[in-house]
Amino acid sequence: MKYKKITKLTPEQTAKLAVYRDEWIDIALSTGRMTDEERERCIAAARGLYAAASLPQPKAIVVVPSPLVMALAGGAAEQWWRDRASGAATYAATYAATDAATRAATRAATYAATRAATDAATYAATYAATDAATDAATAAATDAATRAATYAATDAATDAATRAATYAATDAATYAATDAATDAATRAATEAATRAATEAATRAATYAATRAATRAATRAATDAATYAATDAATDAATDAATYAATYAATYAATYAATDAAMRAAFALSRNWGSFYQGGNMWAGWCSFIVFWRDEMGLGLRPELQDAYAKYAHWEALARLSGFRWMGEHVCMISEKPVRLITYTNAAGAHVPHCDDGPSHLWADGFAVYHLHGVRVPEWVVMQPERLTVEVIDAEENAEVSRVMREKYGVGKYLRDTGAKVIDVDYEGARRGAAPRALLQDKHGERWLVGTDGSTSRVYHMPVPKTVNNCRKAHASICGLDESRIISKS
Amino acid sequence: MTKTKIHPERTAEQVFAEIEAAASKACPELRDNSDIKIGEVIHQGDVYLHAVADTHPRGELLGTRQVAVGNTVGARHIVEGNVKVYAGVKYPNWVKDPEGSQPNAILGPVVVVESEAVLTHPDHAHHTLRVGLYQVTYQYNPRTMRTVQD
Repeated sequence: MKYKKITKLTPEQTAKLAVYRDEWIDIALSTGRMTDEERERCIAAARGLYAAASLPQPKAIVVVPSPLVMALAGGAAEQWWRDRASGAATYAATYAATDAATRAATRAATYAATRAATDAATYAATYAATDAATDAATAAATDAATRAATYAATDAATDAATRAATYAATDAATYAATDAATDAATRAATEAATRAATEAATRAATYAATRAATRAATRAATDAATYAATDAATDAATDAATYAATYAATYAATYAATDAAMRAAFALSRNWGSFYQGGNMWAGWCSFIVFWRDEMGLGLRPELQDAYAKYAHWEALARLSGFRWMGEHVCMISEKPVRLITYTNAAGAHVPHCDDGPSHLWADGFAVYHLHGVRVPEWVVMQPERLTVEVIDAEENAEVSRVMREKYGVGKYLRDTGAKVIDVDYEGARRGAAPRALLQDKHGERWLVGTDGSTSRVYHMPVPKTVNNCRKAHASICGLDESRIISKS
Repeated sequence: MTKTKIHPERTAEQVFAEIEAAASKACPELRDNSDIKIGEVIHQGDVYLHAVADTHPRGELLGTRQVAVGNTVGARHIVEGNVKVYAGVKYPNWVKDPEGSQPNAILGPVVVVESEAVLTHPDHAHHTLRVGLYQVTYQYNPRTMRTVQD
């Protein structure tokens, strides 16, 4: 079939194009949760898309409450299925690595810890036990041996000496002396002999007895004490060292294995932008395709029927749902936000913006924040008191820095940072004229600062960077030469 | 970019002090614009009323007397009196679109004053409007690419 080439839309067609545009803008800005029936339709449409692309059906298609869940769960689930597909090799490698690492680490750590602990414990225990036991044993043995030896030696020496001295003295006295002489002689002889004999005998006996007794007692006491102390210390040290080494090795091996797996999983999540499709947020192309299909007759062409049948799945998802993750193994479809706040700017763009809350809020609480279309951290909107000149100047993103300045207060920022004065004059309106200035902040942005002449307010109006005086700055934002203004307020 | 001369003799702090001093002496009294001529403009906040000829084009009649867009206090630039407000169609020939904006980005409605009227606002001083046509335009924010709303 031959078709007529279209080079220009008719006024009627152009008017219709706006209808399609507006319909799809409404879809893009629509909010609210899906019904169960809509979720089922989304899942069916997703299956249709896989089939249209001649791809195997995924293991799971899930409707989730927000893009955050989609990205995190999508990445983790996709990685899990990938790992499962190559599971044996991964398991073996992980097991071998873990086993080897655990074994080596345990051995080294146990040896070092046991040695150190045993050395210290044995020394301490042996010293203490030996010292005490030796003292006690030596004291007891010495005491007993000394007493026995002294008694025996004294007794024997005394007995012999007494006997000899008495015999001699008696014999002499009997013969030559009187009782007095006998007494004196006996005393002197006995004393010297007794002392010498006792001293020698005692020394020998004591030494022999003490040495044997001490040695036996010390050995017995030391053996027992050392054994007990070493046994306990070694047990405790080995237990502690083994536990520490095993824990460290297991932790290291597990961390290494788990970390790699988690990194892989979240690497996918971090790259969700490479996997996702925009759903209702990609409304621009949908409106164009649908317009040409339904309004311009392309939908009637036989050769396009198959393509449009495939496209119907895409369109169904765009009408019903938000972002989606279409992976090899997993498909996750996010619901639309439950809150979406925008305004329409002069270019007709719908700009996300909310001064006191999230611009986008999903049912599970996930939220994003925008000021004049610029995505900002939550605290910039909810805790603007945290804004300081230092924080603003440290922000690397120029757009974020700009909205931070506006949130901080342009006038305050201009003052706090010592803005440059480009121009100062008096607005020339006949009634209500007031001074004004063109200032440039440290980022090169220019601001017309002035008052209206009837309130006590001071305004800071952003103007193009190209203007270099107050009159041109004013003209750039109102589109007229201000000399025409006769009164202001 | 145009080469810029900086005023080294003035600091931002001095300039702010001067502007704030002037702001504190603001005059909230009614502005009498009975002598306004075609081609002259009344400026109230972020709204401009251009006195235009009776032949100035206008669209359909709007059911409002508020000439600014929005429902905030700042948007209540309201014309009181015997007036009709119509959709705007085109700028007066002395107005042009701000650089970078869409066509008619700052175009507002047309106010037809059939007898004496007053342009009111909760904060700004009011303006008398003599009989005639006024084309409304707005201020433009080149950063956000939207009309200014106070």
